[in-house]
Amino acid sequence: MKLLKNKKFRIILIVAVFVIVAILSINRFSGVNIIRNIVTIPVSWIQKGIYNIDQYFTEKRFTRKQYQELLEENKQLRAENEHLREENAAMSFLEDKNRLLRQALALKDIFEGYDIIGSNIMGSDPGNFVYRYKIDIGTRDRVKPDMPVVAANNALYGRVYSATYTTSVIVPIIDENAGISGWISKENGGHVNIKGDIRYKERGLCLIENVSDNVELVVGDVVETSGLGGIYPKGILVGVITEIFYDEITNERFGVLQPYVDFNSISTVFVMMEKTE
Amino acid sequence: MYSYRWYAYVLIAVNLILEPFISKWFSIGVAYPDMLLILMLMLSMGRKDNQILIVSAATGFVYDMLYSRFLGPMTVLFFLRGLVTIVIGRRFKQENVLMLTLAGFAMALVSRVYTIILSVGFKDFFRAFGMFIADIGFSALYTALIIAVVTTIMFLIYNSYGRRSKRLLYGQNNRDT
Repeated sequence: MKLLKNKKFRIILIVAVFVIVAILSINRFSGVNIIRNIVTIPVSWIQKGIYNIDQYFTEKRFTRKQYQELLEENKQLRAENEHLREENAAMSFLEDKNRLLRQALALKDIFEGYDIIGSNIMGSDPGNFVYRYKIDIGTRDRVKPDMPVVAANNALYGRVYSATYTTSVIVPIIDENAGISGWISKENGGHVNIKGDIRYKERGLCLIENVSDNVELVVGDVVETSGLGGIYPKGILVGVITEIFYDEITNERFGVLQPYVDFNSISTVFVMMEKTE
Repeated sequence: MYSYRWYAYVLIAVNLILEPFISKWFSIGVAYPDMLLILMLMLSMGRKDNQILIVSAATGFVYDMLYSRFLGPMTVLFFLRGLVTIVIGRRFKQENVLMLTLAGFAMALVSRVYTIILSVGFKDFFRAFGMFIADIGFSALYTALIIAVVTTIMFLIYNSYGRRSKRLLYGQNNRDT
């Protein structure tokens, strides 16, 4: 007891106990390690609580950060998407152009006696009952009135109405001034007259008239140019019959023709020039 | 509880509990501060006596109980830290901010080397020294910067409010007058 009151002895004793405990604790299975529980149990409870709070705020911060990142990413993707869309539009424009040129090339094969010259439609004049389309080639390019004009898919568009040095005006087949000699494109077909009609041209349709009695007219028949009349060569597709009706007063059959050309969307046409040689 | 030391004790206790979160909350890149060292140096600005040694060793022992693989290594480290703090305190004026900062840097450096060696062993420590040096250096620098800021603030408080502030700070009157 006297020794315990000695300060130096107490220090030595504490250090000795500590050293023994430390050495024993090196063995993980030593019972000395139980004394850790005095501290670890209460502290672990507190730490668990702090951990949960920390996780809560971390998640909250992470969610906000993630949201910001998503917004940023979305912005980038939008810009990228816009860029790709522009590229895609340019590509599809080129693709369309390419397709048109390929079809034009095919036209040259079909109509060997003709030079096929492409042109762009500069504008239309769908004024009161008058349809005229202006193209960007004229007499400079040897364009003359009454030359046939076709679309790339070998579908008849109309004819040249007038030509200046650099431009020409086209009368489409739906115009009432247009008259075409047609042929029902089937075995034992027959001649018909195709005309623009004021009642149908607003809908982009033509009228078939002067159908002789021996011509069998059926909805769905394809009509092409007959080659008669001197303007249009034979074999240009005109359209398909969508309706047939009978006029009891004049005792005549009529048909409604849906042209193969969509006059509202087409932008490139081809003028057919007969080779002179 | 007016004594500043009590606040330091509470802070040390809280810090021991929060030790696993400190590297996450206060880290800048790979560096994170040695908060217990900072608190110990704050404590040393008060009375310089053997109590610092006891508190250091006790803190180290609790640290060992909580986080070490076996009891002892951090007790020894913290005890030595306390010893160095006392030696510095005796050799220099107690509010020598620069000296405390430099001492803090050196101790943080040695402590980090010591703890890494304890974790990975001598062989791996020297083998991957290049990898550890950034962590060790920046952490020591970070710790030293905090020590500089904290001790400067405390020094300003100490010199701003006369005797009462000294009493509140150190828990005693006329100690250095």
